[in-house]
Amino acid sequence: MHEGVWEKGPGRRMEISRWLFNPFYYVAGAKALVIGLLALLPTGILGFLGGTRFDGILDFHLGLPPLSIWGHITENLLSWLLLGMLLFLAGKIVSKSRPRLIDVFGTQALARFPYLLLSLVALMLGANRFTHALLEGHALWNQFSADMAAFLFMVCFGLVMLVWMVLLMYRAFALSCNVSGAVGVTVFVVTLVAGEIISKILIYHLFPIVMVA
Amino acid sequence: MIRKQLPIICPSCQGLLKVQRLACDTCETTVGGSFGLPILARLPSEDQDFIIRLIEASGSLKEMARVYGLSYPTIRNRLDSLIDKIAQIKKNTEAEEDGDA
Repeated sequence: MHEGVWEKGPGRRMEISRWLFNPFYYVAGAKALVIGLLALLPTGILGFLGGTRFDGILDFHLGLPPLSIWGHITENLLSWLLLGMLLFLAGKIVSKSRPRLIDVFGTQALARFPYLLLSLVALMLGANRFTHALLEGHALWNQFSADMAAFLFMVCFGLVMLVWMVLLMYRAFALSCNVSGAVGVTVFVVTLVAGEIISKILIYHLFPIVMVA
Repeated sequence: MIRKQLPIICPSCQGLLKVQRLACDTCETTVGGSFGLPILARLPSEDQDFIIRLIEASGSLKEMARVYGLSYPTIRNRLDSLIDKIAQIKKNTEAEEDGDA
């Protein structure tokens, strides 16, 4: 990167932090869309293999009824498309700039990357076994086991990935629509909550045929 | 070599400086008066640099993004903030002129 445009070259630590928490500073548009879709598809496939459902913009669940591989992929794509569309409309309304569709959808696809890591970790059989035992009411909380450790690790890791993903989603929205401050945060939160509700309705009521294994 | 920057803000009161004397290096003629700085000269040097590079890139934000290795919206947001700064400078200039009149 050329230095001196509007900041003296960022330090190495700053650059790493940017790549982790605001990669859209460097990557957006079609490039982000391609990378994001390349992460979204395996997220669905790994979700199918590991029995993890991403049935909502923010949701991840173990132990839900299994779907076909296309059901898993559709859930992921639907969440991305829905939030992208809502944030694009919100950006059009509140931004003084002119947001591009390709930037909003591209960066939002890339923002879901943490769930690819989560779907990988969810391949741990122990976490799945413990979840099923919990759902069936015979999980032993008073007896520490490898399955329980896997389950607890999965829960903690999932929460970290969720927070990271939401942060990335906000940064993607803020950069691609050029909104920030209290207005940016409020609009993002309201849109995210609305999107979460709509995604649940779509997944469980309007597309049941696709979702059934 | 030290790159000298045109001072535009008064170090004493933070007010905007004006030009009072211009000199010709060739014949040593000097012109006195009170001249306001043009809008571009009132921008920080990194903003001036950005504008020059944008012109060199034929106004293409995509080209700017490619050259700097940054994303298109990052460059576009930078331009948006520059547009805001220029609008603010124009507004301040108009207010000053109205005050002088």
